[in-house]
Amino acid sequence: MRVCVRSKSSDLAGLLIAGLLLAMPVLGADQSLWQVHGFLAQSAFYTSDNNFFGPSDDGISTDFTEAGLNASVLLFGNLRIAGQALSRNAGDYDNGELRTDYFNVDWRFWQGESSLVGVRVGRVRNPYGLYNETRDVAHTRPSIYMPSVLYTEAIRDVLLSRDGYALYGEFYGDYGTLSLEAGTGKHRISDKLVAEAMLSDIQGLSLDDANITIARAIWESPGANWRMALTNTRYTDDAFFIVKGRFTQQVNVLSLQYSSDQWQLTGEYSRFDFKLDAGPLQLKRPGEAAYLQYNWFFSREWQVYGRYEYGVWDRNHRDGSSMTQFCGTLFQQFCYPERTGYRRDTGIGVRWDIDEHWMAAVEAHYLEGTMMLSYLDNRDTFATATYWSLLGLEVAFRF
Amino acid sequence: MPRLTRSFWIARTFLSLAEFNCKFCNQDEYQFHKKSTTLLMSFARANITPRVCKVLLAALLSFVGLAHTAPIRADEAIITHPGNTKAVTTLASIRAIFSMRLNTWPDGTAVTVFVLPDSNPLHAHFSRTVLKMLPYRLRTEWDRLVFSGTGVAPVEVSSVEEMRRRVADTPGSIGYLDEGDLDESVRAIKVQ
Repeated sequence: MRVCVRSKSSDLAGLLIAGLLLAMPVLGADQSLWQVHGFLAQSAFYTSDNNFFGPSDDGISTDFTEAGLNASVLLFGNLRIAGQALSRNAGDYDNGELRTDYFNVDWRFWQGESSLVGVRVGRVRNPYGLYNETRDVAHTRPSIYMPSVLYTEAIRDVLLSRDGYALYGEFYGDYGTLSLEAGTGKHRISDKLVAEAMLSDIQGLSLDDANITIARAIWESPGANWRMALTNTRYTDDAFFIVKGRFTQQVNVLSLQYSSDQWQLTGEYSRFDFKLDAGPLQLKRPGEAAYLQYNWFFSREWQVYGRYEYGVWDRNHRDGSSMTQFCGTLFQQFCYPERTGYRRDTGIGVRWDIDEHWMAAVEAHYLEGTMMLSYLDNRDTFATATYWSLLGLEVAFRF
Repeated sequence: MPRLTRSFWIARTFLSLAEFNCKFCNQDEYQFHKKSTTLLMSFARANITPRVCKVLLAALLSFVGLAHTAPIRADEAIITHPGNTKAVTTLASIRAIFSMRLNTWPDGTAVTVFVLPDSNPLHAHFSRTVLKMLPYRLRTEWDRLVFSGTGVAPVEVSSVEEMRRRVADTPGSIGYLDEGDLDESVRAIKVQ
């Protein structure tokens, strides 16, 4: 399969960090000019059926480890260079290989008393929803794993960052804060990502010339108790399956969050339209997903949270019946069981912030459907189960 | 003596809740909570008639409830380097600076933000009463900037003395102190 592979920028982030450490004597100990941060998280999962981050089916899988290091240096007051290198072990679709999550130059060409405007160039993070920018760090995620449909782990690299540019602006006033960001670029794809997206080791399908445009606007009330975000993104690729065609995905996300002293309520709603137009292969998925999460801050160190999430690949057939449309046809390899067309996830968790570095969390979920379940961990799509439960435990460190 | 026992358990529960809920309490508020509920418990244990106990309980509970909302300490003052005459003064801009989003003063000099640790009651009080922002939201904002590569975290100092010293020594600095701890080495910023 011919796939455009993004190459070797794990070295770039490593170089940045090495360079910074070597430049320490020159930059001095001024923490406002440069900083290095890192994180390490280890999780364990048990599922009653289906594999989640490794062989968790009726067993315990500890195949979810994340380690990352990032560095940021500010030059001439308005030029920032930042990068993050990540190593991630995640079931069968991530083997711990070091890679660059982002590495960019950020030039803030205008900064006034109540506004700033700038541009970022390089590998930049996608401003998607409320949590995409910090999804790898356990402490800044809403739970042990990201809400599965909106922030699919299986195609994390595609969602996380792109190689291109971003134009951003922030405005502060009595109305609160308005943050705007928009950009385009090439999104990251690989063999594994295509397999995950199509739920099979597709023979004869290749994607090339991957493009993404994304824009997000966030309004925060003064003090940021209310946050509202609107994200719009569009992915396009040239698809080749017998004849040349096109793959497009349009995603719109509406996010809302209210933070109070003792509790926080977060909800995100998304509509995503996926279309594969490759000659005889015509695939359309008008999808929808949403989640609602409630966090109760029991004390400074402890919090309890509950989340309900749902997703469907076809809003017009919420029972997943459109997933069987190719069964018994020429494209039998795109025949999937109905349960892959939807997911409902009810979960509760407890989180302990031991100190400013350490954190531990434990969660229990009950799920219906296998939408966005990793294909590489569950290669026999027909051997998965519709109703399953999940227990997770995570310990994380950051500095 | 079922009625006395009930009052005792109400007081005991209230004390536990006060402990757990004191996420943002400073030491004074917390001690006050503890003293008043211990008093409640001793009343409940003492051999007073149930009706008197109920009245005392109601009175003490409402008093403690009021005390929790009444401010026990004065606002903190925002401080900066004495040479910084171009400091911003609107609350929105001050908030943007402490959130680590705005990182230069109007004249272009870099801002260096100094804060006390999250667990320090002075920091929590400053965040809520001066910035009018929940401390955990402030922390979430710093984390988001740090881990998305779009900013850095503020410089954490370990004590009020270190705060005063470093703000006085660093051009373009900003921090906060109790109004009673102000002196000539730092300049206070008045928020419009």
